[in-house]
Amino acid sequence: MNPTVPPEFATIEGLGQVRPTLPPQPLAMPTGLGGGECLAYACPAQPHQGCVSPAVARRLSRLQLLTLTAAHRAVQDGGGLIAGPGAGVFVGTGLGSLGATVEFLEDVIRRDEASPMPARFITSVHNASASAIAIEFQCQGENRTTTHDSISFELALGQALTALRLGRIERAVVAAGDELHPYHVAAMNHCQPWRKKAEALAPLSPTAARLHGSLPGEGAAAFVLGRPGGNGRPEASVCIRGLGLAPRPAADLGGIRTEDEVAFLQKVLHPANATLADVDLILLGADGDAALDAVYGRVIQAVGAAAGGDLAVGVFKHLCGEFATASALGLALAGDAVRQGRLLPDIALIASGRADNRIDNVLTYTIHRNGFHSACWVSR
Amino acid sequence: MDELVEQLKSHIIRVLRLEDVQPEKIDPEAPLFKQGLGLDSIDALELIMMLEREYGIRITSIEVGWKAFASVKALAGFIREQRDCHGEK
Repeated sequence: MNPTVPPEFATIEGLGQVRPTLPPQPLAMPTGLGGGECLAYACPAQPHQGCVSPAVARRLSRLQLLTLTAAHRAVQDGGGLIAGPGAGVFVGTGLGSLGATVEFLEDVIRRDEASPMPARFITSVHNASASAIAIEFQCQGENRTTTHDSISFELALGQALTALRLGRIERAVVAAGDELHPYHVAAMNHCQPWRKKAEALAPLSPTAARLHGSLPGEGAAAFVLGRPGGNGRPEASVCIRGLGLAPRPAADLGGIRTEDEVAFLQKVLHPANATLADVDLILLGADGDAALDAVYGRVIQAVGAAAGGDLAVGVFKHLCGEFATASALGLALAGDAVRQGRLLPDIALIASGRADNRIDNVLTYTIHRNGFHSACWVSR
Repeated sequence: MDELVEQLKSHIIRVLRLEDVQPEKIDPEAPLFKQGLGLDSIDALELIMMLEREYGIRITSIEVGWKAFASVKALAGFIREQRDCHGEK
C-alpha cells in the first residue's frame, strides 16, 4: 500500500547520529555516592572531532557537542539545506547539560561561590543545545528545548511537526540527546537499579540471561525535517507519518493490557491509512531489563496476531544502552532502514517475519518507565 | 625559560579548553584578546577566576585588567608585582 501523506507530517531530509563505542565499559561512580563501577555505554570522549571546529567546541558542554555533532551529520546528510528565518530548531533532552551543571555547581559549593566558572554556567542553561545548533547553522526560526524525562524527544518532535504543519517554519532540525554522568548513574541506583551483573545488553534475546535492570548509556540523534511538498529535497522519500504518546500508570508494568497497546499502535497508523499488516518492521525500545522485556514480549505477541502473524521485530538498545532520549536513536535507525529499503545490520532481529522483503514501513514503539508509551510511523 | 609564563600557558589552555593550541605555539608577547589567541570577554571572566583560584590575586578594576591581560608575559609580570606587594616570593 502507499498511504496518502497527511499534511501534518514531515519528510526526513537528513539523519545524523552519535552512538557509543562498543562494547560498554566500566564507569567509575563518585566515591561520595558509594563508589564502585557500573558498566555503561559511552560515546567517544571527543565526539565532535572532524565535525565541529575546536574554536566552537571549546565553549560547549558534552550534551551540546553530542547534539551539535548529530545535527552536523543530519544537515550534511540532507544536503546542507538549512538556514534562515524558516529554519527552526527543536531539541529534546531528559537531563540537559549535566556535566557543565555539575562543574559549575561543584565549584560554587566547594569554593563558597568565590570563583564561579562563567563558561560552564552559559553551557548549562536550559536552551543551550538548541541555541548552539541555531548559531552553527544560522537557523533563525523557532528555537525550543523540551525537557520531560524520557518523552523529551517525542515532545520536541511533536512541536516540530506542529510548527511545520502550521507553516511557522519551512524546515526543522530536531535533535535529541543525553550525556552519561557518574552522578546521574549513581543517583538512579536508588530508584531504578542498573543491572549488577556486568553483562552487555541483549534485549529480548532468547539466549540471554534474564537480568534485572538495564545499563546506562548516552548518545544523540538529529533529523532535518521538511514539509511534504515543500521546497526542500523532492528526492527525500522517507516520511514521518504518525506519532503517538499514550499515558499509562508508571509503576504498573504488569497491568499493561496488550489490547490497549494494539489499539494505541493502530491509532498511530490510522491517519496514514495504514494498519499493522502494513508494518515491515517494528523497532522496540526494549532495554534488556527482564521485567520490561516481558511486557514487550506480551505486546509483540498481540501485535503480531493483529498484523497477521508475520511481523519482523527488532531492537537497538544493545547499541546505546538506556537513556532518556534513546528513542531518538531508534527513530534514526528506522528512518535509515526505510531509506535504504533494507534491514540494517546494527538492528538485532528478534523475529524475522518479512525481513527478507523490502523495508518500506517501520513502526517504532517504546514503553517509557515514566508511564508514557510512544510510537512513530516511518515509511516511504 | 620563564616557569611562570609556561605555567600560565598551561592554565590558559586548560581553563579555556583550547584543545587545538600547543603551549609552545603561544607567543608570550602576543596580545591575548582579539589578535593573538583571539580571546573574548567570556574568556576574560574565566581568566579573572583562574587568577583568583590559582594565584589568589584579584583584578580590582578594568584598567588593571587590560594591563594584566595584555599578553602572557604581561600577566606573569602582574602576578610577580602582586606577590612583591604582598611580600610573597
